[in-house]
Amino acid sequence: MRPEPENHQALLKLIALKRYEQPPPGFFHDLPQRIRARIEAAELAPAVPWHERLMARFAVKPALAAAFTLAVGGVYFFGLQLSDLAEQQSALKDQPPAEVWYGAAPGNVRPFAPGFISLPYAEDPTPPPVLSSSVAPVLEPNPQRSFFPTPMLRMDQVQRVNFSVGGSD
Amino acid sequence: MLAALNAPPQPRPPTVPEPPERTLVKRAQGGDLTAYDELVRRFQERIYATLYHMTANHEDAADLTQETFLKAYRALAGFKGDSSFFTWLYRIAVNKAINFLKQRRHRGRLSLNDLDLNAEHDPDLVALISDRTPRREVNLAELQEKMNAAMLKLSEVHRMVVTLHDIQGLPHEEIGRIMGCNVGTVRSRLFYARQQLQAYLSDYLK
Repeated sequence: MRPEPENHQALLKLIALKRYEQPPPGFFHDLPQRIRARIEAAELAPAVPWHERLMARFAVKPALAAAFTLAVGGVYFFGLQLSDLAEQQSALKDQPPAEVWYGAAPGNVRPFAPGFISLPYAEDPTPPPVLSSSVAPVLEPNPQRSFFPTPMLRMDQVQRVNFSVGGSD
Repeated sequence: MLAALNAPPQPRPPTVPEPPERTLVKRAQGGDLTAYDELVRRFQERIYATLYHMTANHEDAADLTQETFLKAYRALAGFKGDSSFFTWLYRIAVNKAINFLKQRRHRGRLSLNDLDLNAEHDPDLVALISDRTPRREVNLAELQEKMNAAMLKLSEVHRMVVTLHDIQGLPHEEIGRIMGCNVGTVRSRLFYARQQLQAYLSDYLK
């Protein structure tokens, strides 16, 4: 060991005082027996199931329990968001390409008897307007994300309806 | 042939006796509690002293000593003998002490052991009290309390280095192995810790 610097010599003599501190008499005589008793008690004790050990640990450390709850909640919330997103993407994937629908030609639209009603385009010579889709205003291409699932229209299930007014049957 | 028979028996090649510590460890690993008792008896004083000087509290040190030996027994199957059992055991004790002190929120209440009667006859200590201490009325018990209070002001790692080197007399290399750092770190920590202690105890070192 290197000789200690001179300026620490007095301190080292003072530190040496701690070597004289002794535990109560008989302490070291009893200690091995106490350690052995604890080892034997631990070996004889029935194995505690893992969930009981976990609960016992939470009982001692409330902060750990709170952190665990937050973590589980976070995972649940993340999973919910993920499933919502996947559902929306799946719905968009199932959507058929937009069809070009045409308004009825003036010659074909005569459900009513002449003079009963007058449609503005009946005598209009201009071509019929082109509509992108009959349900275009209803469907939202990019639905707003929501915590709750939004009912979406399935385009493949939308049926065109034909109706007649005025007792054609 | 006859000459060979009459020849003095060749001495057997000297077998290196297995260190008793290693034998005890192997027996304890096989579940021999008596062997483990012997290991406890062999190391309990040094382990207790380390923990006592770290905590300055007899009850805490006694609990931590038991915890250390319990943990060592449970982990004994994993002890491969890469280091000595002594170093391995010390490492467990050091970790126990540091974790305990980090969890202890406030400065621990002092629960000091009594001084051995021989302290009164230590010439260095007697000289320290009678000659160097400006307050002549100071006695050994008061000096002991001041010393422990100053130790508690050090950080855990600095206190550990002072304990292992200056009180227990372990070499720097052994301390490095126990604390998991190199010798240079041990030396620098020791120097810093002594400077701190010297400042805290300046009244008693003039």
